[in-house]
Amino acid sequence: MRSVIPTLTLAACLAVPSLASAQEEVSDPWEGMNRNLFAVHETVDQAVLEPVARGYRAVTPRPVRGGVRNFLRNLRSPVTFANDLLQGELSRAGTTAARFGINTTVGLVGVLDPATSMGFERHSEDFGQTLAVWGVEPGPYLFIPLLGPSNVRDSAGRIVDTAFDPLTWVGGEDIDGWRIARGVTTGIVVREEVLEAVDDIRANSVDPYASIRTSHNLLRQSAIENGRTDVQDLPEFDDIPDTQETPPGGGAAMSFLPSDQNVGLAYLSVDDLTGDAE
Amino acid sequence: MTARLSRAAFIAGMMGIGVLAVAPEAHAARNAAAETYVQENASAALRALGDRSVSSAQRRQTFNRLMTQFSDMPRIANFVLGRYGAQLRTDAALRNEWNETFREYSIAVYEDRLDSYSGAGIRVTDSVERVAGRDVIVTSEIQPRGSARAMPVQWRLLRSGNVWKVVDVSLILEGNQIWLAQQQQSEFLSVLGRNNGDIRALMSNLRTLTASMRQRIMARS
Repeated sequence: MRSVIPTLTLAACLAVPSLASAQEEVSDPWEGMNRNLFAVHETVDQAVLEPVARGYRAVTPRPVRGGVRNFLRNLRSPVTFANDLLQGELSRAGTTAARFGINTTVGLVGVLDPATSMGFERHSEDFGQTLAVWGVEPGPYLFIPLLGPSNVRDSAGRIVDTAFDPLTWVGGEDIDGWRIARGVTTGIVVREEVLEAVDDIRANSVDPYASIRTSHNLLRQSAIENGRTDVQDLPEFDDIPDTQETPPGGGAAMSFLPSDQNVGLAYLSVDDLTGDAE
Repeated sequence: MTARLSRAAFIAGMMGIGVLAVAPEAHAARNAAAETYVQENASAALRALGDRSVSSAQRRQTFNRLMTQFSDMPRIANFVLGRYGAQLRTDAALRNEWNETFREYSIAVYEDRLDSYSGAGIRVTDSVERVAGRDVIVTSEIQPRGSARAMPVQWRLLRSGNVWKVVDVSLILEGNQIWLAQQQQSEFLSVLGRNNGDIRALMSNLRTLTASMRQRIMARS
């Protein structure tokens, strides 16, 4: 059941490119199928997920939403911790452990996040990232309705991550109910967080499918590299072919600034909360 | 609770040694001129967005003028076409048309989000030279109005002659970075790859989007 419910979570999009060159396009040999699945996702999202997310925003004050998000993220800490270790990132594993200890205790079972203000910044890891660190290629791009953008490697990694999830091993009569509740809640929380980002992509992108795929690819790659971009890997900006007048009044795409302070052009990853999706 | 906290703090402390071992590579030299350029120009642009003493039309006009000075729009317009930009080298009319279309699209996109930037402040914190004196990445924090947390933003500047210009901007979302000109390029390459590299068809799509955005902007104002 656990693997089904998170499907109710939206996914989103961040990206991962080979930062060496944005022209290295995402491998998408199943693009036709993926676009069809994206259309299914959009239909379901607009009929169910988005209205529910807007309702959630309308009836809950921001601090409450923040507390729910913190709680879900804290639950995912063991998954991040295990993958930190598997990647040999001992200092990051320490940060994750410290965050979990602090937020679970001082932070009232994870509802609050005092660890961040103490210098323990949050990060998220999953087995897809671990496989990438180990040299496994991403394989073809996949768009999974309700789960969102992914690829073959990361989809396989998601299965492994269930082994690191404490709820997988907890018994009891009500455990399925708790798993379902977490999956549904996660879906609503994540969708609410990306309301503006999704609106923006739908309104301003020349190809929303491609925009999501690109953003996912770029941000995913950055996640694998733990945000440590080597500036020498940035692409060259060629000289203009020919000197010519600059169009009057031209402004750079200040569009780069996100419409939401937290998200921006890409969707948040459900993975940040549960590891069940990206 | 205290015991658990202490254990966590101990682990974190021990692991702190590892932080030093895996810290990002040492930066090359900073570039004070590029940092000053970003601080002054980005501040001016953000101030312009937050200036409620003038009309929205005047505000946009000022912002557009500042961004024209701040960014290398023709170079960005060329970059986002990737390999398909080669068509522009032999067709001056197409090049001018593309530059204008992309400029209009870019302006409409930020206008559509205008309110999100108004009143924000910026603080430059660091820089690193990719190519000494010519290609610099400046790191800053933008503090949106009414938001507790500053948003990390990096600016990539190229110097041509004695003039610095911004060619790309990156956001750091949840610790992960995305360069927006690269993102835009990849999206356009996807579109062009599906339409046999037809830049005019892409321009048609962009004009439609631009018109739609302008309608929304007008409806709000």
